[in-house]
Amino acid sequence: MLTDRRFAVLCCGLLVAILFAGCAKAPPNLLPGDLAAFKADQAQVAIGTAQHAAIELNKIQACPSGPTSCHPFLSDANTRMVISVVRDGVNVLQAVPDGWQATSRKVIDTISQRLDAAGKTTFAAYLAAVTAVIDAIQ
Amino acid sequence: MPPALLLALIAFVTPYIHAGIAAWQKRNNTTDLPTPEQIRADFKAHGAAILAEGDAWDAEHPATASGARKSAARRKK
Repeated sequence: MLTDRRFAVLCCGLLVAILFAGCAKAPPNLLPGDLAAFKADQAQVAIGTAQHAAIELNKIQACPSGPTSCHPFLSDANTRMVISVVRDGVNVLQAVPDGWQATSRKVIDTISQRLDAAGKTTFAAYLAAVTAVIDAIQ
Repeated sequence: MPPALLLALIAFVTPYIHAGIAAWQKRNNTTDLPTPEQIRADFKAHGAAILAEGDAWDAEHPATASGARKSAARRKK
């Protein structure tokens, strides 16, 4: 049997539960267009990081069997391809921010398809990291 | 206080509390998060910076032989 005191405690608990349920809702703070630009910006920074990684890997010299056999970790051809694909991706993102998911995934897929075998080995971890970042934007 | 009165009081007050929380969240988020103008400006600036980084690398690593000679001459200077 509930006494008045227990009933009051129960009602207070109910009130607190209702209040916490209200606090858990995410407030709508951006218009859809601004939200798309916000997410597209995160996506372009992610693919920009891939470009930056490619350029930095290209600067590092690997010398597997002495100084005469030095070559960049990521070849010029692979780096040029990454820059070209990222450039196209950024231009598309700037023009159509709403399509950030398809565009950023296409950039990653195109890079992974066009890398040569050595480039795939070198760059796979970076592409996986960028893919994880893009997945996290959703 | 009679239980029925307490329930009625909660039912009466709850919508106002929710409205207050929503207003507080809205105000809080607009101060914590970037404004739409900042978002658009950052979006353009980040894009331009990424393109500039790629262009700079391309300028230093031209694909054609004549471009490579020009680039080598530029580096010697």
